[in-house]
Amino acid sequence: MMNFDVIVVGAGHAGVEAAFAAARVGVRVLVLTSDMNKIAVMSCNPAIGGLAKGHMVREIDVLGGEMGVVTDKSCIQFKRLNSRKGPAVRGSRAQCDKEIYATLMGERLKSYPNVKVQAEEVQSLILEKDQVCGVVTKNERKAFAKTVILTTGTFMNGVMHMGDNQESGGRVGESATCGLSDQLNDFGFEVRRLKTGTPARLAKESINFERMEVQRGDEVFRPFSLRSSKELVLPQVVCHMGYTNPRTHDVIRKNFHKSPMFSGKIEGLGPRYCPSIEDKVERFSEKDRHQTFLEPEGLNTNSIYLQGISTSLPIAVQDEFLRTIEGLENVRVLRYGYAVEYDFIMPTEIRHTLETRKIKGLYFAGQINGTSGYEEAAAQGLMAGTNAARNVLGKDPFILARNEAYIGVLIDDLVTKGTKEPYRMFTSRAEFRLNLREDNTLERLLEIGHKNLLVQDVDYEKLSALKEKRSSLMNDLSKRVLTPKPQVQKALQEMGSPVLQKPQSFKQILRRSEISYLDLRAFDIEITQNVDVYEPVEIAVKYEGYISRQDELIAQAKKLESLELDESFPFESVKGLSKEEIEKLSKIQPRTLGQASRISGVNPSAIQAIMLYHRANRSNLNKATAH
Amino acid sequence: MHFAPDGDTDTICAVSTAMGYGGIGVLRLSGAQSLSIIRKVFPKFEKEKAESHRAVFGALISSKDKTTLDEVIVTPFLGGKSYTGEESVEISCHGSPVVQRRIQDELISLGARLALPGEFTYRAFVNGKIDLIQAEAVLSLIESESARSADVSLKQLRGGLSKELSLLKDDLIWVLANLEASIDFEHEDIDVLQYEGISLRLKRVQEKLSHFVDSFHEGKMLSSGLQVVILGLPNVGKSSLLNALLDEDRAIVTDIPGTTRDAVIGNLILNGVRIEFVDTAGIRESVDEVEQIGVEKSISVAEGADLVLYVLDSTKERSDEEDQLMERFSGKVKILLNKSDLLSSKHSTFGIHVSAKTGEGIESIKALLREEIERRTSGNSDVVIQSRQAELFEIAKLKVEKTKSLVGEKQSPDLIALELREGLDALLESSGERFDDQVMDRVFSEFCIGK
Repeated sequence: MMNFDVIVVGAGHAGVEAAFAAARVGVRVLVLTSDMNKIAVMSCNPAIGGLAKGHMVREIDVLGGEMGVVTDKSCIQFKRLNSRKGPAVRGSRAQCDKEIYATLMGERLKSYPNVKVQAEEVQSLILEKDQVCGVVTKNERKAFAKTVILTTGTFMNGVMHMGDNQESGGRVGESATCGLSDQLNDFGFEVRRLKTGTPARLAKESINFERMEVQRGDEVFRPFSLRSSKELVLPQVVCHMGYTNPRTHDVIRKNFHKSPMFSGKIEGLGPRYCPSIEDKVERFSEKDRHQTFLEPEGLNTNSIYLQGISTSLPIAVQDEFLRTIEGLENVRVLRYGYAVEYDFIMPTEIRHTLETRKIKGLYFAGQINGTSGYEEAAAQGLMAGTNAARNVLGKDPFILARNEAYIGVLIDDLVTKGTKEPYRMFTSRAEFRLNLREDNTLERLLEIGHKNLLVQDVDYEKLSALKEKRSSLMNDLSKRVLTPKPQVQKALQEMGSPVLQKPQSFKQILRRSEISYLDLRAFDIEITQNVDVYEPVEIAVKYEGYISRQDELIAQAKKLESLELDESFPFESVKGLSKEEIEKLSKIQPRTLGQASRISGVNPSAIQAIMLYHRANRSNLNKATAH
Repeated sequence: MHFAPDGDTDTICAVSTAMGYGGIGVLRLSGAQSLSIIRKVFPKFEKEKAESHRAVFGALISSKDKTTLDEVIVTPFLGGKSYTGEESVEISCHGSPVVQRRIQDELISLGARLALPGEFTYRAFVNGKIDLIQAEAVLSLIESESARSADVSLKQLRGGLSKELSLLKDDLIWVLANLEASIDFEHEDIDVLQYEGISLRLKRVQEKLSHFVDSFHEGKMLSSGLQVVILGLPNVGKSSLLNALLDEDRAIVTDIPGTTRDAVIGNLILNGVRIEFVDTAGIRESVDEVEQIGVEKSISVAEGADLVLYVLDSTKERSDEEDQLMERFSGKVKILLNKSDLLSSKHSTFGIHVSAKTGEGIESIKALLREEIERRTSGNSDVVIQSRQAELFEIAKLKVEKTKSLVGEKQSPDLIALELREGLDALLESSGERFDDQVMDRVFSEFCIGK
């Protein structure tokens, strides 16, 4: 093999976005995957997006990533969650045809400029002291590059559990990768175990759907990508909802001892937000039913995903409890549920760029950092790919702030706090949630994405034009005035809105809760039908009060964020810090005082002390240069 | 709360002289809004231009009810020529803690923030007005302040405040967990947004916080004085003893205006702190009245007092009844053995020998009272910390009230949560805690969630 700038190990959701991003920045990328037919496989649930996750997909999209585009093209049911709640917590979710998704993404990867894909399993890293310079594959072939991005998913020392059965592997039918995590362990990385589970897949024709509730998608499709067509490509499907019952729970309870989770065979911690059905029955014993969604995994498959019922019980027990569920009396299982345990590296070992502290040029993205979810993985892939490429080109790091993007929240949380369970994004993790909306990704990220070479010129032109339309609409609404003429008053009355006492700007009118943007049609003003143009403006007007309060909080937080600390900052010399605080600060090496304040166990008084120390020494430094 | 790094523009205020009764008190205001805040309460600056370093005498008027807060001298320090290097104003007022606190409250209501311990000095350092050595001193001050606040926390722990606080936080976290769960787990089969439970908890928290804020404002000894009750059977010489205490000092015998306690019959100022002597029925009743009733009434007054001086007639045997009374107030009772001039030998170690007639022991009583004041005011900064806490409680209270009304309107949970988080932050700040992942932990323990 030849020389590259960036080698991406793994071609899951993190790997592909890493490769795309690095290639867009303008370097040569090699992607190594064990199986060319398993690119961007959706190993678990058949959906992309959801709350906070949908936000990230839209962020990835504005930053030039492919996840949104491919999701739109493979969407077989679309929903906007929380559609009746506030604007910041509305999240898009698309159920996808898994096969089409993986095929489209694979095609893109193989044809992407600057990217080469090869089927090779990576065995170890080639290191020169503390600098990575390539990888060795299982076939003892070598590839060289200045940077390497590891996106190993659940494959590092993966072990699958099903009842008493244990098998090495990262996914059913695919073997685990050994060697890499041993090498990292030897190098002093904190390697830990996590667990995740997946439910059974059922044969569609063996299910009696008449005994279940139908779940349909939304009427209106809102593509994830601003580069996509507004029209759906694929026909849409319905899902169904069913429930477990006391009989189901009895079967599960009777077999607790056969679950590897309870028998102690699994050491890794699973996600609390995604407990197995065993867990649910045990921990919430007062509930006599749990809901489950039956989701088709694609248009050309009879496989139905049983959302909410992940399990690692033995096959016979799975059959038994599934058949107690109404509608599943005669169910045939295509693939049984299982749990998988895998290695991850405590993400406090990496920087905001996702580069490891211990090995230069080595980047981690996805489940190796302790996260869960396709979107979380893709987001990290994009950031790792960008930073690896920028590193090669000798450019500044690309870091998103917590008030700029969920991606910023994700990475800052990981590197500051580490994680004990698979980390999933929630809107409540973002303290500036109100500003991180799905509708304003352009305003938040287009310029910064373009500046960092992530957004291609042709897209930039198109998206800038859209952004421009929004701001001119806002301008228009603020400037143009509605006067209390009889026909205006009449129209207002018809809308159930108070009549005007004096002239008011359209912006003031739009702030009224009973009046929507499209209602302004009744007045003498030109109305755009383009929802991508008016919706963000409408939200910005209606929630202006809340948004500006949030802006104040952001301004306050920025003061702490703007105080930067070097990696060599001598915390041990700061008076007034406890031993525990010094230890934590030295380990995590916060970039800014703001980040330091988010480390758990570091008290507010410590932040004051560091600030004072920083000030004192900076002025010393200034004096020294002045003399 | 952190000191904000440089470039910070918020305006801080605090009483700079020691709290208590002194000749004058000085309040300091520093930050970009100093002058605009003082203009709102000092009409003199409407007529004449505020000039730097020129002291102006005038009335300080409440912006709310237009009453005169005090006659003061206001000195502006403009163009960075001040201790902190920022626009500053110093207000010299009369040395009453009540007046000082009212002025301080007024400044806060107009947008100033109560300064943290050492913050004026910190700003002076940041603005280059003092050097590194002085800055080090500030740091050690901060350290000692936090040590002291730990002390305060410990005291409050014993007093049950921190226990109550943790119940409040628990309630708010429960509410927030409910709101967050309803946002992040919309499709789960969980009973989210339990409006009734939410309203109930918010009401509970709001009431408690109101109570906290009120008690902080009313109950601080330094602003309301030390309350002392003189108790004893009729005819042991309580009144004459009180007169001896008050007369000798030519003390203020009338009430301080504004206090509504009509039972206060005399004030004495020791160490700058006012001591209120509270009348009890026992004192007022004459010998001829039914003794028992008088004693009962006295007891209830003594229950609420800071200190009880129990007067015994040293020429008489103690009754069981008297022993029981002294026992009842043990912990805050001091025993005075009156009419010592009539005794031949004074060997009792039971109490202080005093004589209202000869003045013997009066100084000892005052020494005892001074000791009591010292004990209770050790570390004036307790009060500062507590008033900072009170300010945070006030913020929390407002936020919880707002939350409650948004819940009433069934507003979207993300907007309600914004309000509530600010309230919870204020509470956590008051106890020096951090937010971390308490809400998510609660969501996962409370609701069965899982896709």
